[in-house]
Amino acid sequence: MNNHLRVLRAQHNLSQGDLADKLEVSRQTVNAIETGRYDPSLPLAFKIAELFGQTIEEIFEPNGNKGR
Amino acid sequence: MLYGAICEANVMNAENQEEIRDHEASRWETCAILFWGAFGTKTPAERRYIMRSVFAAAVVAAWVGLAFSKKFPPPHWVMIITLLVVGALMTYIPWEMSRYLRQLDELARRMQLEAMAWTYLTGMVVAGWLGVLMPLGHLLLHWSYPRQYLLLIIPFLYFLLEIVRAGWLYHLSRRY
Repeated sequence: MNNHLRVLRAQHNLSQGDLADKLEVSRQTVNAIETGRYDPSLPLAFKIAELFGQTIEEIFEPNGNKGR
Repeated sequence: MLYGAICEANVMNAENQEEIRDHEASRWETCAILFWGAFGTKTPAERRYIMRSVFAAAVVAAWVGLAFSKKFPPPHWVMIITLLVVGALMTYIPWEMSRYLRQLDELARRMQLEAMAWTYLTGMVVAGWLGVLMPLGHLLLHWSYPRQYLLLIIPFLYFLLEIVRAGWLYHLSRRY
């Protein structure tokens, strides 16, 4: 799954640690999501979407959608 | 001491390069993973798990050492108490670990549970071979052992599995 988390985080001027604190997860978890090595659970995905004021679909997209 | 020297240097070096590596590496703390089977996040839950487990293990190790060094083989009643104490330790540490697991975030918990699943499979192989090799050694090499030695196998197996779990955790930490 691809995501725009890194871009959103940069736009909001947040470090990985800051975002991790807001989401109540570890910095490593944020890193693993950003790099696409870990797909978050639905509750965490909703939390991320709510934090950035977007829908889940706007932040995450399946691999197949890449380049569309 | 050795753990402190290696790991503190590791952390300092990592913090200096935090900005550079912020989005490039996950920086799971390798030392903590290999030494403790934990992530080195220094949360209260992790500290409690490590401190209490180490303290309990030290108390039991001191008791076993005392029981076996006074007189060998130890008296019947000492063996009974030692068995119960070891059994209690083998219950207490997993209980502390379950409390620790409940405090982890979803990725860390997933990694721990995945490492445990692989350790279970590895443990089945190890236990199977131990079960084969012990009677085989007895049959082929006429290797016999006092029954008291079997008691020593319990903590040995536990620590062996902990090493295997730490190994799997390290492997998983490279993936995430």
